Amino acid sequence: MIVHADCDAFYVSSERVFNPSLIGKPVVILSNGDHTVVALSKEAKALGIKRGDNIKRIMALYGHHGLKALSSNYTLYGDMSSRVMEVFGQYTPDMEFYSIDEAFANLYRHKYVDLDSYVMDAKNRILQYTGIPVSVGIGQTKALAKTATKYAKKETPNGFYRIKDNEDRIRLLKWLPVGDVWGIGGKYEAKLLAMGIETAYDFSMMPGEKVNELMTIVGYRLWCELNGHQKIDFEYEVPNKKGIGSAKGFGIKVTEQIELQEAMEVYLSRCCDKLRAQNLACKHLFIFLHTNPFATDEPQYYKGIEVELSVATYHTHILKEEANRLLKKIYRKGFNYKRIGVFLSHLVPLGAIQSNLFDNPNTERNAKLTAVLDAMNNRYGRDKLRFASMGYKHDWKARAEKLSLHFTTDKDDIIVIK
Amino acid sequence: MEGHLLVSKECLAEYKDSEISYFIAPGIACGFPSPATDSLEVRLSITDFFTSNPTATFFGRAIGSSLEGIGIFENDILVIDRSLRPVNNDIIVMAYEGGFTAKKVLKEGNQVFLISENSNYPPVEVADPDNLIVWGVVSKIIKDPRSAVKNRYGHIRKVI
Repeated sequence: MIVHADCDAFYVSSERVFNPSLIGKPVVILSNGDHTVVALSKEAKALGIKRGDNIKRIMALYGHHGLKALSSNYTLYGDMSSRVMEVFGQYTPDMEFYSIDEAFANLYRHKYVDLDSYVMDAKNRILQYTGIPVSVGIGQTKALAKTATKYAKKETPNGFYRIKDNEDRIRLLKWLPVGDVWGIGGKYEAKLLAMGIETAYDFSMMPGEKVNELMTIVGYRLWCELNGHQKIDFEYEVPNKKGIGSAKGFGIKVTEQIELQEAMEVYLSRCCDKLRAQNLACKHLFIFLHTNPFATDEPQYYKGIEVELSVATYHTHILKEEANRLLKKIYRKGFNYKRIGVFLSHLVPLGAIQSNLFDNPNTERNAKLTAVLDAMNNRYGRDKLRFASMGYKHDWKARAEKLSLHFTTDKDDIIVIK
Repeated sequence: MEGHLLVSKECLAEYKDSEISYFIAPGIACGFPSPATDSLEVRLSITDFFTSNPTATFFGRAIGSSLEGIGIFENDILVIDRSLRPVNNDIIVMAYEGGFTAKKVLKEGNQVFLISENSNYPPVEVADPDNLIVWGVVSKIIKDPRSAVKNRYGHIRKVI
């Protein structure tokens, strides 16, 4: 049996653990730069607010309902996510971390346990240990388990549902609109609706070949899963990424190269942290910058540039030199820049770095420098030891004016008890 | 003892991951080896005393003087373990007026009381004990005996 667990309004729930005044109130979490809604509580949903709504507009409309808006605090959400997953992982080793707030578990080993009480116990323990409420569904396949979770969230008082038999499966599929099926959205939804396919059940009754033809093998796998045949594999290990990137919009108009360089180096430094955390090195570096395409009255500029390194590297200081060289080539004076981004690709495991004939004589020195950099920052906090060219003031940073504290990762930010 | 490294396990545990090789002394070939090498164990760390369940452990800082009756003073750090079920005389953290407070919990028969041991805050009987929402149980209190000194003089006093 497959279990699917999904945190309820995860970002809002994380905030509520440390700020009880948000409990029971409509709460929205804002995108980078505090522009639009990325997550919301069920109270905010009930007001009619949706993801993607503009904050200024909804504040004008619903501010008097006591609507609270917060900047997204990914440091907090990331830590709370690990805690939830750790507790869930105490129940089975066969887990897939599907996203920051969702996981699958394969309980094929648990033949002789009462699944319902086992899973309810996990759900209650997650709530007690972390304060995060989760909804749980059980089904024959991943797609059915996900359907059961959806049903649990909307139709059950305790946020738990197990698909009991075939009749029950059909009942749930008839309940689920086709656009809400895992992976069906946008253009496929419109196509299916045009064909008279309205529910997940209708979809599951289509001939398999037709689904394959219409939606490729991905749609066909989903179709099989809804019919009770496991076709979507578990990804127990997080697959190695193809690339690591970081690109964020600025909070102000940036015109100078020095500011672009600061932002680029900060993003690059984050990428390099991730690279090294996964014991990878990269052979390809891409940077891009652009103006604000929505400011139609301003001159527009977009440029990307890439370089293939002779030897794969994971050193911040080497990639930084390369990135600065690239930036110098594409920077033009006289534009209001909106964003700069960095992307590292052609990732290789550390052990597989091919050095060339004219290997850098500084290899050992570089390794020591980076090791010290990481050791210092692991112990004293991110960027405590850093390159001065990354700057300090960071006026270009996107607004995050309503950011809550790093309650679980910063000594100075822990909750206050009176 | 060719290739034998003289290095404490703690040092190794701490730096192994980051591979800072020069923290490890090179093998020393001469002299009588320490008779303790086979008995070395990892040195105690402060965390050995505090966290039995890091996944469910959170920290809080005490502010003000209302908790002094239950032994919590300004700037004390509370280690809060959410995995614990409260038992009699535990200090629990709970949501209060949009923030957090701590109270001693006492059960007498079917009645549950929240106690501040403070004449300004008399004991409160919990109306519905089954639905008392406990944020977490205080498992340790970290005190800095010098924090009061620091506050009074603005700096740590000279070593006597």
